[in-house]
Amino acid sequence: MKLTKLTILATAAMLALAYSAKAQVSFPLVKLTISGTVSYNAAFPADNGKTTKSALTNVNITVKSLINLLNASPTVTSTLLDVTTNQINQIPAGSYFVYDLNTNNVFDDSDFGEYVMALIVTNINGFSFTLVGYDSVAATNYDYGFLNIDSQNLIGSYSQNDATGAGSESDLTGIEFYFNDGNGNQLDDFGNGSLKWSFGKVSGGVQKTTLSINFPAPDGWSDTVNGNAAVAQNVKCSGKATGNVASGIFPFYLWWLYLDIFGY
Amino acid sequence: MKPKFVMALLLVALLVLGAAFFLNQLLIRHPANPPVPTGVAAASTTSEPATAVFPAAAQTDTASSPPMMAAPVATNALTPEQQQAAIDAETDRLQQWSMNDDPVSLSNILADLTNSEKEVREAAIEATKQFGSTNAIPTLKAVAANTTDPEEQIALLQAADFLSLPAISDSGVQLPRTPEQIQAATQKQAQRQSHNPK
Repeated sequence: MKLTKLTILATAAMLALAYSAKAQVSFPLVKLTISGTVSYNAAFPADNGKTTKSALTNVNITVKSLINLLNASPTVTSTLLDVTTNQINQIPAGSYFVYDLNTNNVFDDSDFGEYVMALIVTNINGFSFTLVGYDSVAATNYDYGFLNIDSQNLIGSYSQNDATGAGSESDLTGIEFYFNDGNGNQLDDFGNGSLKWSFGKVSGGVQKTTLSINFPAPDGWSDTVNGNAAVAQNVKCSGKATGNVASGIFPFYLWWLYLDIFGY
Repeated sequence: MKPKFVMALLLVALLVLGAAFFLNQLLIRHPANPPVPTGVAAASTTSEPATAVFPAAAQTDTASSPPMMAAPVATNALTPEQQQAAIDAETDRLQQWSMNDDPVSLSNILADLTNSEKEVREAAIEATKQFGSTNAIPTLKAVAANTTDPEEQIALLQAADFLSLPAISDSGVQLPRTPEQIQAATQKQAQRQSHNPK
């Protein structure tokens, strides 16, 4: 009898664990690589007495260099002190950007539009800094970056097995990548992005989901480097992530349209 | 007595299965050995990582890069799902290495430039860019010279060009504006104020 009770308890514990995991389903965070080049005039036109010349200076953009810019900015470091759990003023080395689809409609501000997808700087040790938010110490909103998808023009194609719920989907949309270190460096670039989804069979209300994003943003707008007018070229954000997602979101582009019409 | 024995047996079997699954997951996530490095600070090891099942497709023929040792091909034994999982695991590692600043991470990234899986090679090219070291340029050019795929060749050479540029965070101080720029900015501001009086 004791063993039977033990078995029942073990089964109950396993079921509780499974239920708890189900309750935590959300879009997986997409670890991003960001790259591109930016051109600007770094020097005044030079005149050697015969010819006057001016040249463009090109610099590259990577995740590391963007994080270095954030760490060098007095504005950002002040925000970091206010909003990070451990009150640190530098983003730790080895940190990276993740794209969080779960934050849609969180930052409902007319400056950002209704839907803003958060960029989070994080690392494997639990550090986390969302680049758009509210600084309660300084009593002000801050906006150092986001990666937004155009909810009005999100279109897609998909194929889904009626019996299992498994399938795949390929979406297209307009995107905006915005970065501003509050210290003279800004990227505000636009392009057409793709989201590729692979959905496993539905089990317990969730399905294993892989999301690949490819967001090229070749069209620069109001870019600056050290306060100088600049034009970014070939900026691209991409990444891939896998996780358990609630089964109701497939196909994503129609689910998103529903959100757009009826609210979250 | 008999049902109790069966129940106990079932419970033990369940626990053993659970432990086996957990250990399996742990081994997949943490390879026993690091991947074979090439290029900068290459080690002389010939061991192959537990999950790096895709050996080099070609050698990087440079003086600074010792030849990569051929590894046993294990891809045939894997299901497509396992193969994709191994590719994803390697691209995850590449992304992690790209955030580091040590020579071993760079060596690991450069080794994957000649991986037999195209997806891994593409991730390695991106990781090389993200790592941001000009030390990678000779290897990128050498691999490009030995690559038959024209698209990949272009990507490798573009990565070399990318690395030859300074990073935006090293772009120096702000220039003082020219008199023409100051005048243009003043005019623009005046135009804005006339259109939008506040």
